[in-house]
Amino acid sequence: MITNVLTFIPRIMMNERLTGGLLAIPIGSIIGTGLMYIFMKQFSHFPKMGLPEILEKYLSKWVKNIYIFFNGYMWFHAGLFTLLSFITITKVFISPDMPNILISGMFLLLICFSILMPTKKVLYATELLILLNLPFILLILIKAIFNDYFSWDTVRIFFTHFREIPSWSAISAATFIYFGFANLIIFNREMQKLNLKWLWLIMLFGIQVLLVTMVGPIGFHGAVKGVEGYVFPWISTADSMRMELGFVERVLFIFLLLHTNISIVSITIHWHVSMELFKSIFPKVRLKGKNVLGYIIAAAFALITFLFAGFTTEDNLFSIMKSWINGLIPAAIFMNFILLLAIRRKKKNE
Amino acid sequence: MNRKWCLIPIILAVVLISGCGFKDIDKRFFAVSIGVDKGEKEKYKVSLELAVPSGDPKQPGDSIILSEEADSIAAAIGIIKSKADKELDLGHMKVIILGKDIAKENLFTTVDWFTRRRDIQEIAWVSISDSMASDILNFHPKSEYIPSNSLLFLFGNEGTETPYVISEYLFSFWRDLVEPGIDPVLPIIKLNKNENTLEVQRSGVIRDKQLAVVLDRNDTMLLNLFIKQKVKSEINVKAKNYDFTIASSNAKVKYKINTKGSTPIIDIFVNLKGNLEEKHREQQRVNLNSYEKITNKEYKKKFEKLLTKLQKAKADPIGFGQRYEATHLGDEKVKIEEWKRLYPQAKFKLHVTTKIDGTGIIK
Amino acid sequence: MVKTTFEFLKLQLSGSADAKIHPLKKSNEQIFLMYMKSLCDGDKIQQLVVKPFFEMHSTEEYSYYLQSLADFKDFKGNDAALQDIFHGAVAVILPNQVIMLDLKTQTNKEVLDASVETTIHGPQKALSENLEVNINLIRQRYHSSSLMLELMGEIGYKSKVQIALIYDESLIKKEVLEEIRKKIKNLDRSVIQTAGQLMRNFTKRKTLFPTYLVTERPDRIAYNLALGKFVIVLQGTPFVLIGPAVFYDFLSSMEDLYMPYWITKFLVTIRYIGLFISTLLPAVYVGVTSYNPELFRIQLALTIAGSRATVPFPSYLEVLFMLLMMELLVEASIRLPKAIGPTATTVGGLILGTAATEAGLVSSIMIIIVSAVAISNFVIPINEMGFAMRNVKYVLLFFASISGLIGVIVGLIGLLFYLVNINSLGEPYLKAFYSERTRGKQV
Repeated sequence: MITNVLTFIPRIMMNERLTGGLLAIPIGSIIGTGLMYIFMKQFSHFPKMGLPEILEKYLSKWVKNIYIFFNGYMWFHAGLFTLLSFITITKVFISPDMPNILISGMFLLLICFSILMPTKKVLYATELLILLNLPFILLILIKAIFNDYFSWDTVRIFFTHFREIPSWSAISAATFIYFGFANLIIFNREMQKLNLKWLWLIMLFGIQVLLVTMVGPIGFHGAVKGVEGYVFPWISTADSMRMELGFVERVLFIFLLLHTNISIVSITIHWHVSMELFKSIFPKVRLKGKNVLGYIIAAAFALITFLFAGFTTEDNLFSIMKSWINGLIPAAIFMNFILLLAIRRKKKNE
Repeated sequence: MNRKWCLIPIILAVVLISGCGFKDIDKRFFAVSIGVDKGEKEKYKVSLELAVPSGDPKQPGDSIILSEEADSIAAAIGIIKSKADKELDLGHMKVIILGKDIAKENLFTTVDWFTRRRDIQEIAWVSISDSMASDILNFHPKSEYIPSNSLLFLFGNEGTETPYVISEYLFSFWRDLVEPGIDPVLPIIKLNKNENTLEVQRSGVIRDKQLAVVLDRNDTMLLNLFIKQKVKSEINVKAKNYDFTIASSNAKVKYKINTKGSTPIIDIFVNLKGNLEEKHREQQRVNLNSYEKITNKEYKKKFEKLLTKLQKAKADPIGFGQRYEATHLGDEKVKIEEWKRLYPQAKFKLHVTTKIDGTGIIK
Repeated sequence: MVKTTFEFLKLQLSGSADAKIHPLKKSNEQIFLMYMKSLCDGDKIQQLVVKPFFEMHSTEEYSYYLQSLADFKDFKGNDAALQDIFHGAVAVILPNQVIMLDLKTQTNKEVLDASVETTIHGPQKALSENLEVNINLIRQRYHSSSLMLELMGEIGYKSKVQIALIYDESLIKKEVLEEIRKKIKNLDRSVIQTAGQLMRNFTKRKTLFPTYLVTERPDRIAYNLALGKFVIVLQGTPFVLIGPAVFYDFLSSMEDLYMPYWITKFLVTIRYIGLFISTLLPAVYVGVTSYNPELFRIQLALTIAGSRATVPFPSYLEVLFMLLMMELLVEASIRLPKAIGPTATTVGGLILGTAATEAGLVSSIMIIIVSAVAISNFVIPINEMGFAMRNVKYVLLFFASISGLIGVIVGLIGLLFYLVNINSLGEPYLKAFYSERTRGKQV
């Protein structure tokens, strides 16, 4: 969820800040939380089973293969977008002299290693990394809001546009941050029981994150014309903060550190889910007695990333991302349907 | 065995490609400040102040100034690079000085280079110089260890905290420049050759991307009260029977724009808090209440004068335009046009309240 | 049958000069004693075997007497008997019976002082090098009926060292127990002397991070037994092996239990800070000075640039050179005879440090960094983890030299993932909110 601040989502919403961006936040939150609730409720019928197992048990094989392939593809794209924007940011801000291949190669090495871990370990690693980074995130958020040069007037200008109706892209973008639950389709294998009590807290948290995502850059760079000039709104916002008495003066570096950690976590989760989905469709490939299907898939991911990085420009990428996001909510509802079918079949069998 | 062999080509590849971007710190020149003037032959004259590191940390550092003229700032920097023997590193550049003559031209295109580059900090201080920017760069007071540190301390709050300096970061300068509802204010540095000091006491208001109004020392202090609101300043009151100074520690300014009537009225509430610092008339008693009343009256006059001066020049550094946009609904362009029409007719209604907490150690 | 045993043993024992085949002759009977003189306790033999023989009337009574001795061992065949003799047993060859008595000399019974892991407030004595004494010491700290001792026989087919497995029946996980039993049975090395060797033989792959804890302190043993871990004690070494061990165990010292709560928290924080400093500092230094100098404040950047002006090498070589010197110093000081000890400190400190800076070979900042790294490395309480982290530091340095700060971050995250991925006998190695710690708090 927190990754949201750092990826391409804000750019979509930022483009629409004067035309309905604000309203997209509550609408998106409601839709997102609603989907999350339905989803988790459905999954609680299948303890310890991931999506492939559910589909295998209760639906026909063809449905399973096609649907899982589609899902694996969608998840792969989610991770891919994050990875590509992350490589761009690294190249622009941290080491502009390094060749693209080296940067991508390094990250891909790390990520391919991390997605091959067993699911439980991925969970542990995620937990640990997020815990370690939490104080920095809080630091940046607090510093942003209480800065002397933060212009509350511009924020109020943003708020005056609350009457406008948001576009579908904006709503989808706002919903995206709640989509963490969708990763459950694989991680459910490790969960015993899903706790639905804290859902309202998640919604509150999500609204707050979305607000900060929008308000931060606007307050620092201006609502009307300022903020749309920046390619990476949040990074420039982080650069505008200064810790006179801190260890590093430019907050930008802390922010980039954070960004790196969380992006890697996010990409790991997405690609791990994608890989597990693909693994459940394809037959096992044995080489010297070990199942190397995982390695093959990881290598395929890496190859596709290289191709993508080589052949798309930033604008291209942006429009692809936009269409991907537009398709998110319908895809989620479709998944609800399928799960409903599975539940009905399960109840019939019992 | 298989996995080991896969590792070797990777390591080889990685090691061979390595060294990209590897540049030791002692092979870099750190640029600490930059000055942009109007060039005689070309469009810009760019001067860079480079810090020369000294091996002994106890000795003050030295610096070199390199200047070059070109049609664009980027080109000038490129030529300067060839003059320096080490790689230029702009990551530590924290002071940007714009010459007065270049400030009178389109600042938007001038500052474009600064905001576009990723390695220039958004928290660099921007200022205007009264004369040529290169003169200011050439000046080094005795007390600074690192070149142009004195300017840094002056602008930031690490050194002196003075109300005569309105400091602007690069990002807030850019924001105010681009946003239609507010105009940026930059401090003006003057090199006092007789006393060998740098004076930063005046400020310039930028309107329509050019330097429009230059405010003198007192006006700068007043404007600082408006914009920064937490400024420690000395409030001088000279009236018929009264002559004293208050050191203010806190100032709160709130304003509301009222557009219901035919002419817009801006209600401004100023709340000053301070201690009596100096008294010049020998009086038996100090009546704080009457002091406060007379301060209110005097300052009301001063504020109004400043605000009408700005209004006549069609400059809006306080951000009334933004406040108008923030409190009204509608399309932005329409709002801006509306405000442009309304602002020259606006009337200012000031309500100043002062609270004098104490009188120092003596009564 | 007895005769064949006698012949067999005589044949096997005839080579060694310290093997004794001693006849005890009475007027009407003769029995033989066969034992290794160097292994058996002569006094005990005299007391328990020789004297009663001459005091009793019949061999049968003598035989009953011998069978009721505490040191009686079953005769299990020729080969077993031979083994037992080499473990210090005495074979009493009666006319129709062979009786084995375990009368070995217990040497090395002294309880040693804790030398590797010292605490301020805790017990100062460690274990001894004798298996029985160690088991005694452990049982004295853990008087619980659920403490089980399994003598797993001898390992190492040449050295034949006795090994014992101790665990608390009610707390240990069944899978862990099965696993470790299997591992002990599958050992096939010829000589195993220490716990560390045991650990290496248990882990099949070549690992960097230790997954078992090696310790000599009985209080740590007792604490870990109460957490449901098992302890393997070896004859001949005061160090025992505790498993399964997770990352936090290596960063905890027994002091944590003896000091007040906030002091403990503070000490643990310092340990983690030391860990980060010792692994990250050289890599960050290289990354920042050579790739992204805008990270520092301007004063620091200029100071570093100034002090590096005289250094002929690029930064990573400088760092490598100093780190190597420090490693050599540390390694040498382990093996120094006591008389030369102080000289080494002088050499290391003054000459390497100050003189190197004066000569312009390294920058003064480098000296600070290297000493900080060296010192903070030894904050880690358990040695194996400290050594492992020393290795990690070089890996991170490599990444930093290739790709700067981003390499450091990638390396660090990679390390984290690697640690999370390790399993210590089925337990996850690194996990946030490790629940067993809360279980241990009830102890």
